[in-house]
Amino acid sequence: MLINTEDQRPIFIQIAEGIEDAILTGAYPEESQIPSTTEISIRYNINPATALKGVNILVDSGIMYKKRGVGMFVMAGAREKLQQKRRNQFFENYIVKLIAEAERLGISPREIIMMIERGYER
Amino acid sequence: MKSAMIYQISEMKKPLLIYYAIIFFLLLASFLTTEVFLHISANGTTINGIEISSMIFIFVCGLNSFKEPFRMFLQNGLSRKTLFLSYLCSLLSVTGVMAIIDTSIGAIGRSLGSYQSAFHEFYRQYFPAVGPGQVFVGFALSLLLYTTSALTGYFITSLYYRMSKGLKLLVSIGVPVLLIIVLPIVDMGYANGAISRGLGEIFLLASGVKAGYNPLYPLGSCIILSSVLAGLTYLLQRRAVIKEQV
Amino acid sequence: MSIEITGVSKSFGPVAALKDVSLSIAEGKIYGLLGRNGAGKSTLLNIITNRLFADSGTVLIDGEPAAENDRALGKVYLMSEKHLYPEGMKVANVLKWSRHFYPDFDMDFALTLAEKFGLNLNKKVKALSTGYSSILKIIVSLSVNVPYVLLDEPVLGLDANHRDMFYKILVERYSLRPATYVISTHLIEEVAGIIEDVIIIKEGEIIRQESCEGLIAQGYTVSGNRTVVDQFIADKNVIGSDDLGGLKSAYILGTLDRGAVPADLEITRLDLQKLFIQLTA
Repeated sequence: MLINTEDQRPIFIQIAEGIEDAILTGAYPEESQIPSTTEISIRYNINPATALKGVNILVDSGIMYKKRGVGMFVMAGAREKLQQKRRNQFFENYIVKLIAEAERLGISPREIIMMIERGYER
Repeated sequence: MKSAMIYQISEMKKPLLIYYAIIFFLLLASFLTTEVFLHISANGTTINGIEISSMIFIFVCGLNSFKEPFRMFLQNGLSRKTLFLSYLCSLLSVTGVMAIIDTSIGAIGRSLGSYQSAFHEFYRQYFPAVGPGQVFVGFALSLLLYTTSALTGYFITSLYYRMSKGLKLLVSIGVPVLLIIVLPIVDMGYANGAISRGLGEIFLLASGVKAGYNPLYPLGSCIILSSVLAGLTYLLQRRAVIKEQV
Repeated sequence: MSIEITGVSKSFGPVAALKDVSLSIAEGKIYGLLGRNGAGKSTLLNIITNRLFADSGTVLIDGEPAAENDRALGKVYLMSEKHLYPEGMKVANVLKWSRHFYPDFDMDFALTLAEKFGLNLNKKVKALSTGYSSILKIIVSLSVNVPYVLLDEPVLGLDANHRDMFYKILVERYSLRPATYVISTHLIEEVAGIIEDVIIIKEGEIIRQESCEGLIAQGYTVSGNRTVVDQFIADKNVIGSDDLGGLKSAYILGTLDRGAVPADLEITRLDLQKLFIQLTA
């Protein structure tokens, strides 16, 4: 997870997405405890309130849950849920942008498909 | 306030120890060479000016007691009022200790026969016989003279701190010029010496000489003078600010 | 519980350093006090701590007037660019006296920090380099345990490692024992993530006081072909722009209506530093 204050996304979103990434790659397995907001804020030099805001997004969307007095844990089924969410975003985040850039460069849809196939062959 | 006093006293402690180390060294040296001194002084008494040197010492201390503690107090969230009050209390304890030490040296010296306090010498008419009353008045006089002396230094340094550079220069040159050149010229040329005579009268009255060398007069004068100095100093310090980085 | 500054003005001769400044500093938040050189940051901090007197206006600390008030002033520690400790005082004695004057001063923590930063306790204050002088002040600031800690250029002369250490320790300290920290600094990028609220001061006046996220969310950058950009920004609150040949970037305050953006314009977020530069230019 990298936090960049010059990044286009607000810091608390970067925190939330960073944890999501770690869950997707399996770095934080389901039912495991994730670092506390204090640990996160010290590690990335950010305000604890910001870290809490980021973590709360994940709690609200059912990716994580709080155990009172113990800490934050990854919800069972969180990985599946995240994959579904990211799949839904895939079209918006990658395909739409890809087509826009292709149009600017005058690349035809056929050429795009060929490029994708070439990408898989590598 | 308690911490403030501890700080102020600890600031005065080191120069005080050095001062008395030197005094005791000199006393010891002069005691060992008493023979020589006795031979030199024709009437058999040596006037030892320990009170005078103590006054000068505490005056210099007063001169150095404002700026650093003031900045230290501001850094540590203490008010100017606390600074001033803690200085007064600390000063009184220090001058009290000094007066005790100096009076004791006087008493011991007298019993050894080679020492005569400057004050006792001066006010001998009033206290012809040595007794507890004389010792107490001597102590009180030392205490008040030292306190006044220190407050004079403290007042001067506070005044200088409040003045701008130009004003400082003006006062540093102007006051001596006024006292040493202008005043005598005016006095001699126009007032026929009335000014110096008047000042002399005031001194004689304040020091109790006019009242038959009465030591209670200087006690009163010291109390009045030190109260005035303390009051003026507080007025100066009340609005003092840090000078750099604004 | 807060520091309330109301209508404070201060002039130095003909120069007006602060003009009718009103400000509220709440408990338990990290503030960034941002302004260009000479904007009045240090003057403001010095007035809060009564090292200077305001020409007019009041400063209340937890409801009490700050001027000449030991109890109110004892709740605030100001680490100024130049500290006020006696030049001849030893570092160890600075810590010792800090504990005398601030009853909650954490000596163990201060000594731990001194060791971490490699601060020599036996050195005299005047013998410290700019960097180590900053380190001494940082150590006292983080150990005094008062409700309000004001830091004026805290990382002056520190190398990148020590700066990073300071930010980490500050965040850790803040998490464990919340207090108000007001950080006045030129290195905006470094503190952008740490500060919760921003106070921007320009020529003696407070021009912004709001949450950092909120401030950033109020603006955006639009870039692209100059004529298209000019058309798009015609009716908007433009706080500044950069030109590069036929390309133009404009910095805009206001909420963005994504639907109204022409396809060939690119919209990006403003970061705090850019926003600051544009607001105080």
